[in-house]
Amino acid sequence: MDNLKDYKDIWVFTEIKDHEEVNNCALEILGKAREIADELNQELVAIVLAYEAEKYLSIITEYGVDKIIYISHLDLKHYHEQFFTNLIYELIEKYKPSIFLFPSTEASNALSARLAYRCRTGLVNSVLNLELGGEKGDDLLLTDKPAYGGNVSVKIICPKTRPQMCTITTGIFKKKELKKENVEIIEENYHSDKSKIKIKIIGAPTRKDKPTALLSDAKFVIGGGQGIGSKENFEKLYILADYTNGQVGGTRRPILNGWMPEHLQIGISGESIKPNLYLALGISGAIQHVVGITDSDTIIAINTDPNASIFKTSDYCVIGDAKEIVDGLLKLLEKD
Amino acid sequence: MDFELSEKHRLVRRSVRTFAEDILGPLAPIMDREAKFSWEAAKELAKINAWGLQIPEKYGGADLDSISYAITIEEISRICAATALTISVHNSVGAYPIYKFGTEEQKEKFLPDITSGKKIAAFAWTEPNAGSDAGAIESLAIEDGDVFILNGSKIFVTNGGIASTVLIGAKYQTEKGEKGYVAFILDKNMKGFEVGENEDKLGIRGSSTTSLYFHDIRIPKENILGNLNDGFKIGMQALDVGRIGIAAQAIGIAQAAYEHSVNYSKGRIQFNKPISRFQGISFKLAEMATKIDSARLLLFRTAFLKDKGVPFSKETAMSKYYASQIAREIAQEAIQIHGGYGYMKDLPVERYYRDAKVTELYEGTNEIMKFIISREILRGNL
Amino acid sequence: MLKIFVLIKQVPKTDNLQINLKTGALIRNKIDNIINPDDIFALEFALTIREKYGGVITAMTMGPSQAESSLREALAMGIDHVIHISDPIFSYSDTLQTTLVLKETFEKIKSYDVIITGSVTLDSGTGQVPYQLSEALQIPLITDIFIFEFEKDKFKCQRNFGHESQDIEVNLPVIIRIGKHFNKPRHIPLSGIKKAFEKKIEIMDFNLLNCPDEIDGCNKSPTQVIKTDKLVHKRKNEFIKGSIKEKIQRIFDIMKEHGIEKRWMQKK
Repeated sequence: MDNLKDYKDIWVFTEIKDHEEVNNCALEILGKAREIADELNQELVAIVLAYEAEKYLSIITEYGVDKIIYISHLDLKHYHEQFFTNLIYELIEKYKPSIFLFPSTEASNALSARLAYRCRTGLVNSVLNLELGGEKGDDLLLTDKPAYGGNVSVKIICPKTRPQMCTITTGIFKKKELKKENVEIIEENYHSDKSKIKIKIIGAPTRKDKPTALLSDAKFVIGGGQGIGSKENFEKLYILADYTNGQVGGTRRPILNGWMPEHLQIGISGESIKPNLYLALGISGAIQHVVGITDSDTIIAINTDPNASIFKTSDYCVIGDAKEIVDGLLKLLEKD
Repeated sequence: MDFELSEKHRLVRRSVRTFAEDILGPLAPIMDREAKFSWEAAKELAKINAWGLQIPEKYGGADLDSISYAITIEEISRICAATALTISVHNSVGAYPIYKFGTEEQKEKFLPDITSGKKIAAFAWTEPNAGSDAGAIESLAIEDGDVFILNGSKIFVTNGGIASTVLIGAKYQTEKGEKGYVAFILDKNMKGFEVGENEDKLGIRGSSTTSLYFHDIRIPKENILGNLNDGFKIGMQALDVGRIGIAAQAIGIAQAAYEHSVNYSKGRIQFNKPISRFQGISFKLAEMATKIDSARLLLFRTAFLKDKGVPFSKETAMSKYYASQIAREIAQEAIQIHGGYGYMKDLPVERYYRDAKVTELYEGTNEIMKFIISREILRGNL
Repeated sequence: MLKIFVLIKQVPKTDNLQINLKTGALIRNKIDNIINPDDIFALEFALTIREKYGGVITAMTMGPSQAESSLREALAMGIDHVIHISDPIFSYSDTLQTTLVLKETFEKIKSYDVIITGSVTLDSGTGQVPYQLSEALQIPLITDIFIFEFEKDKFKCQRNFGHESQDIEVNLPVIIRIGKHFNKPRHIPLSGIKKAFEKKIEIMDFNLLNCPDEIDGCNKSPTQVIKTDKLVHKRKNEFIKGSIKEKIQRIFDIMKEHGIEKRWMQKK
């Protein structure tokens, strides 16, 4: 491996989602990456591969980048494992970035893993935290990530190889708008060897949603309790779940009231869930239920009683009427 | 002497536990509530060879050693004691006697259907006037040419309502006037074989318990198990093996009650702390853990002796009496720890309490167990 | 006759983990080691392929001596052969090193039609190996399939790729990554257990595989773990204030932050 000192600058793969918009998580990462670039006195570079890539450049310049390197071509409309990997690998060889950050999306997870192999370097995924370690001026990145099923956090470094690569999930960092003067825009050429394509697509593809996960694996769970009030109101939870590809669950009371089937019970005699987000609506927070939700990343509880014990085990507490809030969320989703 | 379970035994435990939690978990409360055995469970149990646990591969069995057998019954019982009993009786007093005492023809005729679960097996000895006093049975088979004609009845037959192959013990009388105890292999379709109604029980309600009535059943001589006068010996040896299953069943119930108690006491907050922080509760958990560990080790030692081929009647009686007693004690304390919630049918704890009691009664009451143990002791087998 | 290979990993069962806070090491004595749950779906997939098309299934794992018990479990499930890739020099391998070792292994095996993997491991949860192996062996990786079929030396399927559902066709060999709950894995038959512990396990080590110098898990893994801490989920207990409209908007924003958004098509 060549000298580590030859590698510099912080790259962020600014994924363009479905040829529609710049991936939001990538913009969040730019915020943190700007801090790191400032600390190292190096450049922050956005990497864009897309169809009609020029459309997105002005948006990206609002987020503190010093440089954008892009390739634009019809073939880059969607992520393609061979084209994207080959092109970006060449960019890495040419420019030698020290750090390369990716949003944790299906495409970027795949792309970053392949690139890490090509570069024979390390990739740390789903990091919780990024900071510089080592001596002043040293570009060694310290990353924290969850391990062992989320029970443990490990600190990882990639000291001997470059670039140091990471994927980051949404919500870890915050977007920071910052317009820099004189952003350097570099267009690189597209080329590909279509003869090497191994996956043959037959017929026209169709648009498809991801299948809804089981309650125990669902990323978004909407929980309903006695406070929902009526069967009619409870039906709205199913609609909300349907709109968002979430799953409905609840406590014992809705089952006894006939609002919800038995297998959707969450708690000591039901399922344990581990979603990214759990919305507890009209649930008091009795121990039998709470034991099933403690692995949720974030819990928002909504209850009219300010002393409801659910608030003690929630990240966000909202004193309010469950029905009103669900109606409001549905309206906002419809507008979206 | 290695007290660690081998990798093989750990795999048995893990795989049966996964199966039990997955398949029997949702069915157990339904079986209890409806007092009905689940044929859906029976089909799934066949897929993991639960109907032929210790029978060799030649006859379609899984050929497990006795410790694996004990582990299997315990893990099933931890989720559903009624299913565990059904399997245990089928295997240990149904299939096993045929394997141990049967002729090659009998083994080939009866075992494949039994090990595949196509035919469920039962063992009927107890009668209205013969419980602990096993010798007092009155069912009588009288020789008539090349058959025996059987009349009589049996009570409290586990699997009575679902079994196709039923082993029974009866008194016999030959044409020459010889008398003794005989064991027969009967088929429920035999003319004169009547199955009574399912008993309405306090616990293990998912297991079928019925009376059987024998009206002039003509039994061909090839259905005699072992030698003509082997009936009592077969009955008693079958029960020695059966008690390993009962002890395992009891330990499974105790384990379930104990796990629930630990989890509940850690989550239930009163006086600003989890109740597990109060010694009144934590000491109960300590007692539970000690009793279960002791019962299990005693049972494993019994299983080890059985597989070694040495006598184990005393140990199996000790295992059964001790495991059943601590199961009842632990199930009771489990409800106490859960307080009011433990009394409600919402939680399975009350079912463990109802299920545990019978383990002190069947396959020999605990009084009979103590009789067996003391007899061995006083014979010099300390 | 399809030559099917399944990659499995043994991981600690993570329910009640305890860590020695001084050394950061896992306190392993009371922990059960299990086959990574996602890999069980992969094993089941292999068994269904064999049931439908015939073939020979080999399960392989890279790990220390205790990983053998997971191979026994695979045998009990009905897998035909197992390979234990093990050598002290492979210890502490990160995903890159793991991929390099697997590359050598498959080059030794020479002939393979399908390599099946699960999605993510319980312990490290990187999900990188299937992609990296695809690069290393230069064979396609197919993920997120639903309907599939093997026809002579081709694999055909319908799969989700991004927001699309595609019908694709690939020449063998191919790597297939199976998602969680793709199938309902069969329960281990007890009759399989006795036989599983009597079967021979093939061992492949550094010398047998003729590994190049770049393979050295401890010294040449690009990523290194320098610290382990218990992750405590402390709830914020933050009360959202304001009018009902403001509260609703805030909840909506939090939903968006967590990647929750309107799906493309409604079911009803």
